[in-house]
Amino acid sequence: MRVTVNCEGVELSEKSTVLDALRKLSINPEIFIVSRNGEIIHEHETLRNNDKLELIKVISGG
Amino acid sequence: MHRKEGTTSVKRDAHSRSEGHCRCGNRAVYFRRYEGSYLCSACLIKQVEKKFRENAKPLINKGDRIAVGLSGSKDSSVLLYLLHKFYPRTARIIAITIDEGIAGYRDKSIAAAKELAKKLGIEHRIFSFQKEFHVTVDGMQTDKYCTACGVFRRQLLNKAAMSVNADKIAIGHNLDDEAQSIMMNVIRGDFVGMRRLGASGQDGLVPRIKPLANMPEKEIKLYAILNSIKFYEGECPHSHNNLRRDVQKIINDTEDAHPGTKMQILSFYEKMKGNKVPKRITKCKTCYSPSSSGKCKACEITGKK
Repeated sequence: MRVTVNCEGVELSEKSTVLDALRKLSINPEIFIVSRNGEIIHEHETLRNNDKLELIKVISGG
Repeated sequence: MHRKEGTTSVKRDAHSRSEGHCRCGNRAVYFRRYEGSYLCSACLIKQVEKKFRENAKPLINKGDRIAVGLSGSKDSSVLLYLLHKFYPRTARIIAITIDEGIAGYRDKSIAAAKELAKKLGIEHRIFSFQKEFHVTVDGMQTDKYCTACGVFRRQLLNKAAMSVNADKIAIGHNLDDEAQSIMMNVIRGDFVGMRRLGASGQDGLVPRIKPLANMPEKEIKLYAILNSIKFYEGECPHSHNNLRRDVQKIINDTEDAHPGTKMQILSFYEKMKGNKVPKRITKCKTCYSPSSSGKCKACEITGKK
């Protein structure tokens, strides 16, 4: 299946999770909050084909 | 909507493990790695607030006048929101923003700070480097912006708190900030600096309180989002290449591989702090501000005589 993470396409096997997608992109899950269709989801949420994920950076400020 | 399900705790735990649901049965928005537990939005909010109240209880007394360092970013905005929510009558809260003079960054965060203070009905005062020291961070001739900025900011925040007769200064430092500060002192070999992390309430220094110090940055950000607290998301343009950013990456990578690392760093520091050594604060001979030596860093940087 294919999902997009901040507009970047990622090929994943069926029943992959948010964490699988982040690992594939070498993104540390510690520093992002993930939302799907505007809804915040946790890192073990199972993804569906064509899901569009948005990453919200945790770090900001000085 | 948050509701309790009429199932047994055993069933709830099994459900939680298998489906990634919160213990209450609702859909989880967060996996708390260091505990191995899932939290729904309502339970996350409840737990952040519970922890804040536990932290704040021994730090705030009835009638305290508290100056809150409000930058307009998530941590200080959440701190102001929580203090306003839980201490509306116990303490008098005044928000203080320091304008370091960083174009395209601080002006935007000040706008967010103003908006939040206005929305909560909290008195808000802004103090600038330009007015106090006749410098701005943008105009500094240094490659160590963060060191210089930190020196001026701490001094001005203390002075601002004194000018509003504050009994305490509340700072929005979170667990990540604390773990980074501890490790930065380790990397610098600065034992005295490490001991001074908690220095507070000595001659000329308004006592500092950090009610978010054991709360992960991620949970604070989630709390802000879930409560629709307005804050500024930008990063300081001068902070991209400093030691804190490097340490931040090391700690976050370690936390990813070994959940609970940040908590352990803080716990180590707390245990070490209990082993008392004298902390000495004297006064700068030039400007008479509290300083660890005869000349404070601000006067050293500006060459004031």
